[in-house]
Amino acid sequence: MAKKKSVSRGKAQKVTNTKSLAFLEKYINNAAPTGFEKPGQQLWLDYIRPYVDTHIVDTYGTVVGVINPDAEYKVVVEAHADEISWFVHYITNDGFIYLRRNGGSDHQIAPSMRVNIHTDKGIVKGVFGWPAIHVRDAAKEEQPSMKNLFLEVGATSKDEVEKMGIHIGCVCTFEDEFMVMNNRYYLGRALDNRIGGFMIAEVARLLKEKKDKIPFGVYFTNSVQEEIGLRGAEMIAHRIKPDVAIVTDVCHDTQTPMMNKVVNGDLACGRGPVLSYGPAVQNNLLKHIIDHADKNNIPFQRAAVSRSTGTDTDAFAYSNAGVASALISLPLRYMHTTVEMVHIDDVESVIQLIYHSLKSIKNKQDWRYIK
Amino acid sequence: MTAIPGCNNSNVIFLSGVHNVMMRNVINGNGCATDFVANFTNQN
Repeated sequence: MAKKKSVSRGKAQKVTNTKSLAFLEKYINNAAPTGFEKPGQQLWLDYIRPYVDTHIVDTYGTVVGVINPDAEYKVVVEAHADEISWFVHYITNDGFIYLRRNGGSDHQIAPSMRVNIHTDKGIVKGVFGWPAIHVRDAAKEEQPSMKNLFLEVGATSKDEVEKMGIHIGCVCTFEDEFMVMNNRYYLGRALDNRIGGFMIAEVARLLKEKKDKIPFGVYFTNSVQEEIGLRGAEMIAHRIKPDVAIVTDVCHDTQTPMMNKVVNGDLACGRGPVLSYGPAVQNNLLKHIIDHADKNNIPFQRAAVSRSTGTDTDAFAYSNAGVASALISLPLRYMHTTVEMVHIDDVESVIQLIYHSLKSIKNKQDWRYIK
Repeated sequence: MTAIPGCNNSNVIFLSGVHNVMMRNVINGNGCATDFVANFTNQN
């Protein structure tokens, strides 16, 4: 009987450095609401520019750093650049502001949050007001919803609000900052999925610093408008017309209270990247990634998705004539809150896994199941 | 990761009635129907 080969999966090797982490902090602290990603995209482009040959900026703001732009065979490495936010929707005569969502913003966490309202005159500070516990009817506690959530900016009239530069259509983001918790977690608003933009930029840096020769075109793509339905990826997929897409986004850690492993699977921060199985995932590409995780001793977890991944993977997979696509997810706690958390080791592992999977792709590799 | 239903399995449970019609449009089309996304965004 043959001895079974054991696969030992180790701890992540550190590939980020002081300079890259300084970029991460600056990038996360900058707001990038869906549809208004420009400042964040400029930061990202400035960071990745030394590591690529050229870049593309599309009409709606997706930015692509390209290595070997003349190559026929094209591999996309993708994340999304936008974050959920709110739109100013209605200003009352006495100066309160009602909102609409811009993406899947969470009404449950909004009351008493501080916000930045982005105006042509700069940031205006506001807060989500909420009635005090003393005056609420305990028997009929009202839940926060889009019908009762409102902003206060210290104004007494609609006219005063408008003079502050606030108008219908201004976007609002929660006020908070990036931090490192217990030397184990990165924590902040909208790590979903700016951490992805950071990770793919780090892959570009590694390729450059290690002087890897890649025989195909690599398109590091930071897409806009994922949070309202994968729109930026849809647009750029048709423009690039890639042969392969490796997408990274976040997924749910299910180890915290009130999470249900039966419903959402058993996924944990600190156990490595999550590789998804599902119709949009091309199985030969997935196997390629798993093989290189094993070969390079990178820990990983598995997840199953039915119908869709809920990420830009779907947009790339079903674009053009079908693009071989796979999803490498980063487990995250408290998605779409201001305290999203990811494990530092997982970030390092995702970068390594994308790097090794990417550079081992053969030029014009044929991913079809039957040839 | 988007929270828009039709693009994300976890929210499909909230679909009913007119949403299901839109969901079929989503499934049959490429990605998510604009009307569907607008409906979710504004009403939820």
